[in-house]
Parts: sequence; structure tokens; C-alpha cells
Amino acid sequence: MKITSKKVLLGAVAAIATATMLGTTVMPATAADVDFRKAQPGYGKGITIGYIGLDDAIGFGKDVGDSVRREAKKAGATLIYCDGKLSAATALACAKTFKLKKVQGYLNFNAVSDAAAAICKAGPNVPVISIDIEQDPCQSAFMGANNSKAGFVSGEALGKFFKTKFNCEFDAFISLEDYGVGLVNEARMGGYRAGFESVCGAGVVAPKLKKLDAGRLDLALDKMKDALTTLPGKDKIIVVAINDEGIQGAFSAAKAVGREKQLYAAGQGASASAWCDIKTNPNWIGSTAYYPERYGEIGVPYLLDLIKGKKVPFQLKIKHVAINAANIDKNFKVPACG
Amino acid sequence: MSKSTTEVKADEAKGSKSFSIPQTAPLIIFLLAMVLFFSITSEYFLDIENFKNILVALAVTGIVCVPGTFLMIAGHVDLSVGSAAAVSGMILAQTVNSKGIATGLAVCLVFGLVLGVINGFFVTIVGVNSLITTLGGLATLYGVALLAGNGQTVMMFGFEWLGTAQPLSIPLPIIIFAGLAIIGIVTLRRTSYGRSLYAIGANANAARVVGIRSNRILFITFVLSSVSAALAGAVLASQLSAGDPNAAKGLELEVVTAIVLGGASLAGGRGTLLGTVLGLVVIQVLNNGLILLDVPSFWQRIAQGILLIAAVSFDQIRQKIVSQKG
Repeated sequence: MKITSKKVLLGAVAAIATATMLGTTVMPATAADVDFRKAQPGYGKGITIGYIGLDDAIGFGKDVGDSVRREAKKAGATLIYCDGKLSAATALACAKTFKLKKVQGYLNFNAVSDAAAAICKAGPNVPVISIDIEQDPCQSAFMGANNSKAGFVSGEALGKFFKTKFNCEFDAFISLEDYGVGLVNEARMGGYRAGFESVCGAGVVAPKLKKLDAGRLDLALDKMKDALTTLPGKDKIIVVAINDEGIQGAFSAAKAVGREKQLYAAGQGASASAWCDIKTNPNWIGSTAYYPERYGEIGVPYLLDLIKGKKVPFQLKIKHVAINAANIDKNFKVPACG
Repeated sequence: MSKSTTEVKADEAKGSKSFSIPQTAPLIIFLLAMVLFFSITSEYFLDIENFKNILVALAVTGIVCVPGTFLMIAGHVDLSVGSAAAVSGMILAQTVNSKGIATGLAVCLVFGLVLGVINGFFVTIVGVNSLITTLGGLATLYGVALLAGNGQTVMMFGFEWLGTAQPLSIPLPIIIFAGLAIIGIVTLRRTSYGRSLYAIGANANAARVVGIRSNRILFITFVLSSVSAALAGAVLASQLSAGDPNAAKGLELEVVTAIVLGGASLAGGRGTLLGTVLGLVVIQVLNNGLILLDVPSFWQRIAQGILLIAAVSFDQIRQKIVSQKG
């Protein structure tokens, strides 16, 4: 089997369908975080932009698409919205439509990076900002998540909590991972460990680390039961997961055996389904926010800048924040938690 | 001798002279209405490039629809075509990169041939229901497609022409599909093989009694179906310059939808390739028009579902009218 010289990158990219299901993203390693910019009314007046969506049937993709739509409208730009439906063929058709409709720039969240060259060729020769997935050779800028940093911020939050409460003593560091998403998994889960060790000291995690392939709620539920069985009497158990569903599964497993107070957890996503858990469960220390609902606040204004000939940094990465009970209301409109 | 059921069905499929409502009438009316609507509402719809986009988009599905229609007329279905196309694209990408285009295409088509033989063997010799056989194939081949690239897409170099070349300004996939469709129409109308398909679909036992070698006909048709899926996978991979294990996901449903929309009966014995082509065009015009009008994708899915139900309902009503007049 021959896979291209970009094998490492492609590995991550090919995992994108799974990754997006997890609310994860794939991106180059060098970081340049940028602030969200609300669209200026009228800034896009008379300009037509396009958006190739990941898949509106996936929550993450829908949130990104809605934010692009919202910001384009605010800016007064005409948006040609085309849902890629996780299909390269559909994305290709989108690009052809963009050419037909003479879009002046477009955001590309096509899931299949290997098809990017064909899509670039089929589409108009205009500025392109790729979202979370490389779209060579026509990308003018790349925006998206910073996975290692996303892991780091929540790992650091856990470290600070343990330093304050337990002087950095802990019994186990359980890492609920998803090996199916390759580099994303490594970046995110490695980020947790680096973040924790940045507070509690280098090398403290490895001796107590247990890695489990449990990146889904049901898998986490099953595997955490077994993991807890191997930790009798331990009451300072750190659990980190590649997504919030993993943490929800871990707490469900612990609750079933009356040990939920012995877990201290951090997740990824801070998605709406986890808001009440984060807000009401004192043992849920944090969850990293990715803000898919605000992607448009980077993609649209920077794309309009590019169309107007302004210089835009190539890397446009999200500033991740560790969400906890104290700051969740500042970041999200959390409904009443019963 | 009075006409057999088969002959009546075949006549009907060709377009009965007895009644004034042709089978494809509702579809044609619907298509014209859509064309009119989208022409008025989108300034881009009537652009020649847009028509090319529509036809290129339906070509891959169309290639698979040709033998797919044969199978459905014979009362069978091949649900493995989507995964077969995906595996084919993966094989093509890897082989083209390492052994060149000719070998890549040959390996790809041989894969289709072997797969067709396997499907045909299970359906006609072992006697497993075609739905079950090919449903199993759908799942198995998807796994194979993922295995083939270790779950990853595989870039392909130097073989874009099959999917993107435009001899005489006509995209090659359209030419391939049109060629296959013409051959298919002639085959159904003018050959004993085509007539046998109608006979098998109308009444398999009766067909056997009159000496039609049903198993051989079906075996050949399953082979054609898989080879066409392999060809479609190759065209798609060429368009994308990559083999993607998820590339043709759902192709089998698009094929069945187009064929049923075109007037073929899931029970067999009825259907035409012209109807299938019309069905394909209707679906693609709808998809294209909704995108041009920026209709949200959720509504696009709803519209596609409603279209299928509406078109089949119209056809049922038409049949009732025909039978009442008869």
C-alpha cells in the first residue's frame, strides 16, 4: 500500500469524520491564537463568499455553519452555503457552484483533505480559509482548534486544583482516549499530561498513568468500571478524556459503585450536553471549550480581509479556555440545571 | 397465442400504445416544473456550466444505475455497489501510484468482476436472497475499503483525466454514462437477454418453464453490476484525485431511488432505463437547484424524500387509472 509523503498529516485528516463526531479537530502544530472578531456591519457589503460545510448533521459542523451564516449576515456579505456532508464529491460540487456563482472567497471545511487539490482546481481562484483540515494547495489561511493547547489548559486546571487541595498527591491518572483519531488523540491527551505536570512537576503522571481506549460514553462506562475495580480504596483518581462524553461515562460508572466522589475529572468540548454536569458536579474540574458556535467570528472577518487585499496571518487558531463551574455562565448561556 | 404476462410487462415498459398516460409522464412534468422554477429563481441555473455540473454529478450514480435497472427489472437489487465503488477507488489509487494507470484500471475492473462472480454465486448457486447477499457485501466491503487504506484516504497522482477530461467540451464521465445508457437501452429493448430480464422479474418460475436460463442471466447481471460499481469508483477517485473509503457512501440508495423514481418496480418485471435516466436527472436537478437557492441541507434531505414518495405515488395513481380503463 502506498500512502503519500504527507502520511502523518493525512492520518489525522482521514480521521476527521470520527474526530468531528467527538467534537475534535485536526490542524497543523504551530500555533498562533487569535481573538474572536464580531463582524462589522457593512464590512462585507457587495461581497459574495462561500462556505463548504463539514456536515450539518453533525453538531459540531452545524454550530460552525450557523456561526458562519450569522457573521456573514452581520457583515452584509452574500453567503453561498454548501453542506459538504462529509463527502469529497459533494464538496467538489460545492466548489463548482462557487465558481458558477462567482464567489470572491470561501471557507472550506471539507472533510477529505486528500481531495483538496481537486476541489481547489474545480473552484474559483480566490482566497480560501480552511477550517480545521488542511486544504492544500489553495488555502490562504488556516483556522481551527489547537489540540495540544486544548488538552494543556484543562490539564493545568486539574494541576492547580490538586496542588491547592491535595498538594499534588493523587492515586491514578486515567486517560480515556480514542486511538481512532490518531494525532488528535496524541495532541490532546499529551496536552493534559503536560498541563498537569506544568503545575505538579515533570514526570509525576507516567508512574500512575492508565490509558484506556474509551472515547465514547458507552465505552467509558464499561472500561471505567473495570479500572475502578483495580483501584480499591483509592479516592484521588484523576480522569481525563478526549471528550466530555468520556467523562460522563466515567462518572456514571463510578456512581454505579458509589465512588463518584473519588473521581476528579476534566473533559474536552464544553458542549451544551455537559454544561449542567460542569456547573453542578464539584468533581468535574474543567472542560476545554472549542467554541464551534463562534468559528464564524474568525472565518468570516478574516476572509473578508483577504478579499479586500489585507494581510492575514496564516495560522488563525482558537483561544481555548478551561470551563468550570465558576466561569461557565460567563462563557455560555446555561439553562437552569435541575 | 395470447400475450404472456412477460410480453405485456415488456410492452408496458416500452411505453404502452393502449393508454394516453405514459409511465414517465409524471416525472417529465415534475422535471419541467422544476426546470422552470429554478430558471426563474436562480440566475445561474440555465448556465451551461451548471448543466455540466448536473450531468457530471449524476454520471457516477448513473454508471451504476444501468445494470442496477437490469437487476431491478429482474426482481433483484445490489446494495453492495457503494462499498464496491469505495474499495475500487482505494485499489485504483494505490495501484496507480505504484504500478501505473493501465494496471490500476485493470486491477480495479478485475476486482469488480471477481466481486460480481461472488455475488452471482451466492444468489444463483447458493440461493441466498440478493438483498441479504449484497447487504452483507455492503458491510464487508466497507470494512475492506477501510482496511485498504488503514482507515485513511490515499492520494492518487497523474490520473485525473478519467474524471475531469472534456473531449469536445463534454466531460468524460458524462460520455461514459451516456454510452453505457445507450447500450443499456438497446440491450433491454432489442436483445433476448433484455427480454429475459423482464420475464424473470415478472414471473421467475414461468421464465424457467419457457426455457429462460434465469440463473445464468442473473449471474451475468450481478457481474455487470459489480463491474459498473468498480468503474464508477474509478471515475469518482479520478475526480477527487484520491481514494476515499467513505467516497461512495449511500450510493446504493441513490441508485435504488433513481431506478424506482424512474418507474421500475421493486417486485421486478417493470422498468426502463430511460425512466431511470429521467429519475437521475430529476434527483440531480433538485439537488442542484436547492443548492443554488441556498436551501439549508436539512430541507434538501426532506425535499428528496418527499420527491421519492410523491413520484412513486403518482406512478401508482397512473397505474390505477390505466387498469381501470383496461
